[in-house]
Amino acid sequence: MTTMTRFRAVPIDEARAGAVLHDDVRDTAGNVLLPRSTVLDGAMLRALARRGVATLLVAADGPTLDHLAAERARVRARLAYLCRHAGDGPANGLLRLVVEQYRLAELS
Amino acid sequence: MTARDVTFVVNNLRDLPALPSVVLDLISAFGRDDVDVTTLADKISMDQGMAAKILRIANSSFYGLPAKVKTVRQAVLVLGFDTARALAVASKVIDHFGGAHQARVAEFWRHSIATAVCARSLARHAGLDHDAAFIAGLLHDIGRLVLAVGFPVEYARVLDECAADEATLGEAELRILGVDHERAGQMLAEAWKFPAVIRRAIGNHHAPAGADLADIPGVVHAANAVVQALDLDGATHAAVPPLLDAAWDSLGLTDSHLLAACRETEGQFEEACRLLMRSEDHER
Repeated sequence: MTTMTRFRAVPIDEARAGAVLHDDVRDTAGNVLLPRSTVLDGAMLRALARRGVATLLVAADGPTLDHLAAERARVRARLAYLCRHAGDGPANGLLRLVVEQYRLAELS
Repeated sequence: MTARDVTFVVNNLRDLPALPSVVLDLISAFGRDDVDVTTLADKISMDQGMAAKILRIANSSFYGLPAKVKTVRQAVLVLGFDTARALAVASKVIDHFGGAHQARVAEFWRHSIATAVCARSLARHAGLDHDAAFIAGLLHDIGRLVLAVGFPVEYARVLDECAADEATLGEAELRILGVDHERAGQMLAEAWKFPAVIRRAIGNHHAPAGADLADIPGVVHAANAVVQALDLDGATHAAVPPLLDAAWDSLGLTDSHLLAACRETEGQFEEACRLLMRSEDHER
């Protein structure tokens, strides 16, 4: 495993899904909200913004191919779980396809 | 559950406190074109909390207006009549039911606001009344809130069953309470004398009637599924409800429209929550 040595500070509203945390993110009380090396997704970014986190330290080199592949797999698995009761009709299939494309585009 | 129990639930719902008259007046005026700007501004101005909120919304970055809006009448003019009414109603209803600081209630309103924002987007793309869609989306699950508040012990069991994937929400509600959130919401909407199309959007949001598929109830039905698929809060046991093929086809929307609605919903969601859920009491 390679140690990340380069990082940059990114305002929370400019951070993108797929970025990798260089350091732990903590709340004002010092509690860890997300540990270092976490690959950020949209839900995490929204949650951090709600908790008042203004800036993130992320790896300057961006996510590795392994990180991106793992995140894509996580997105697909989560969507499959969310759609477990939705059925397999054409409209549900279209919804799942479009949302998957939308989410994966954040990682490209 | 016995028939007597069902009657008890229904009677309990009927005893719920009424919505403020200003909200009822504003909602009942949807679809009417004989209400002018001054009348609407006067109604909003009579309620200090509502007036403060509509001014804050009009002056927020959400609308990015070039000059500061100082009066409710200006706000109604710059936001547009229907939009001002929809936002005033939304903020008042959320305040009225309160509890936005409680995690469960906040989670409820966040889903409702997401559905409202998405319904507004889909309605705009479908050429329908997007402000009525916003209000119908906001209130579509109101039955869920009143069942949870009126019957907290029973509703905790409903949620436990759903979390264990033993039943859908509606199935668990019917088994444990004898009434589901669609029916409960429809009863409230009838008691509050909402316009018929909003009543139907609340009462049939999981299965709109054929004649409603291309109208606001069909939009709310689709929006409810879209926002669950977007997973905006990452709720562990969230589930996308079935999106009826007939509903989607009737709206005449393309996959490009759907993609645009996803972007618009996610792009506006947090700001809409911030504007609508922040209590005036917390600002004093």
